[in-house]
Amino acid sequence: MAGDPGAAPTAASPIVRFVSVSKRYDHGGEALKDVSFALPRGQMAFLTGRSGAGKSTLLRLIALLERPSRGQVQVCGAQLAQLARRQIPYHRRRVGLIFQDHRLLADRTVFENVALPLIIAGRPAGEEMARRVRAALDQVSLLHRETACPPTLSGGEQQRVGIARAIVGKPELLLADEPTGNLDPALSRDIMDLFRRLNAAGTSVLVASHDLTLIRSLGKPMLVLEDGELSHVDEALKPAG
Amino acid sequence: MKRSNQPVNRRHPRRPVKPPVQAAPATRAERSSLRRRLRAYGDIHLQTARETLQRLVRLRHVSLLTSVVIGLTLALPAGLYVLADNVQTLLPDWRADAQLSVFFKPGTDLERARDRLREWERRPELIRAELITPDDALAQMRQLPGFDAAIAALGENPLPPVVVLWPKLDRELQPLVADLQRVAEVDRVQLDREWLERLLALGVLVGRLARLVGILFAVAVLVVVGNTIRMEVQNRRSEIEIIKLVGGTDRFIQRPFLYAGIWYGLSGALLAWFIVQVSVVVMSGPVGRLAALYHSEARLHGLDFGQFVFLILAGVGLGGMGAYWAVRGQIRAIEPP
Repeated sequence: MAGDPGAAPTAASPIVRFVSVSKRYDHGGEALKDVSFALPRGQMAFLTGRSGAGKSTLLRLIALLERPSRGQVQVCGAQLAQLARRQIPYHRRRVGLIFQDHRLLADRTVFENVALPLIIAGRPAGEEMARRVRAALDQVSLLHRETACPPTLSGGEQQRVGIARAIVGKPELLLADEPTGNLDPALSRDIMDLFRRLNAAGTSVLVASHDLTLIRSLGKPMLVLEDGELSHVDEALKPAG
Repeated sequence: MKRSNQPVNRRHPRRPVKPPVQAAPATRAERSSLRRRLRAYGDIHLQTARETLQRLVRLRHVSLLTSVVIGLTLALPAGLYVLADNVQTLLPDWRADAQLSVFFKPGTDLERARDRLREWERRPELIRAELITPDDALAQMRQLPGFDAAIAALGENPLPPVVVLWPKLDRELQPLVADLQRVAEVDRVQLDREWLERLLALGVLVGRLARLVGILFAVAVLVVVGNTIRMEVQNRRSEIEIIKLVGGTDRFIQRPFLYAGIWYGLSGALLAWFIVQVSVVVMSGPVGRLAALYHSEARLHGLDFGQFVFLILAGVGLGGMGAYWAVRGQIRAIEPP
């Protein structure tokens, strides 16, 4: 349904493409320097590097939380530079965002948190919404906690609520910024397995993480950032041409 | 063809009954999808309004304070308006009692007074004229307690004939008074209306004041609601950031704040209406006694239905506008960190 007109050309084009992207902040410092890569549709990949290497900045550019200083960012077939301010919310609905600090609404239940993207998209509350919310909660094994409020959940559970919220709108692309940053190794492994399952179901996934041991064990292609520059790009993520 | 398509279809599968059958659900589906979207849109607004109200009720110590401030702010101009309105509607009633008393010179012949009466009765600016003879006047005075002995002591009736004139309403009376005073037999013309004119002018003044105060206090309501909503946006900044992260539009985010403003305005207006009505009840006793002193049946009235609706609409409109003014730029400026 997402790409009915012109599905053929966009299916071949990558879901994320960076062409010579640089990001310089006003208060000095270049967060990204001449970054180019392509994430093919349906691919799962990792973005790694030390803290401050520019991982978050790269993800923020994809979600249009920021605009690049130079270069082009293309997501889901759209040139982000061409999107006007008022189109940004609609762009974000196509991208599921997951954060290290979860960013959940503390005074709403798990169910309401997960339903938020659907409510924002103007879907009527009712059976259909409840079904989709529960399906998302089921995928992260949290069906039994739907009436709880986030502060009463463990860190791992909160992270899974964040993931359920990110996938409930069936986005084409999932972005996760250090999703296992505060979790112990076993829980981190669970979360990564969850991303792998979502990817197997067809969603493109880009995960930023500095946990190299865990990443290596998953055998997915990698982007390595060093001081804002890509020091390593796996073959699967090299831009065409 | 209309009745029971399905069996016919099964028995004669080649019959071309399918196209209309297919077309009908398509248009119906389209129509129902539009209706569904409209209903969904209405649902969102209803739900937002309800959730916002629930939130305000939950935070009652804050929201009640704002509502009371708005209520008091609206009550003053509404009260002044009621006052002016009362003065203006009561006065014509009292004005009908306005009389001109024409006192003849003492010793004027009663027949001459009657002639003058007949003459004046024909004047267009008068409704009615009545002669009070010295005897009638004396008889009236006798009925007043204590006067009996005094009158007996006088011996002769000292009272002049008096003609009472009821002028038509809304006429300039000064020319008439001047005419009457030029008549040789007339001693004095007494106009009982001046205090009414003064009160009427005062009523117009109060009405103008109500409008002026209304404008100033409307601005005050805008500022009060705007400030409350502005602080509310600041308090919910992290929530707004999260909603922006998952793709909420500015319009979606500002909707509950606009409803909060509308609820504030509505509750404030209801409170103002209550304050005015209670004030009217409290004041009606003294006003009734005052009116009785002027032999009037006049009663103080509060806001009628139309004025009530206007007050509510003003509250709702000002609340919504104040909220819009507060959130417009503010929500736009909040960006997820």
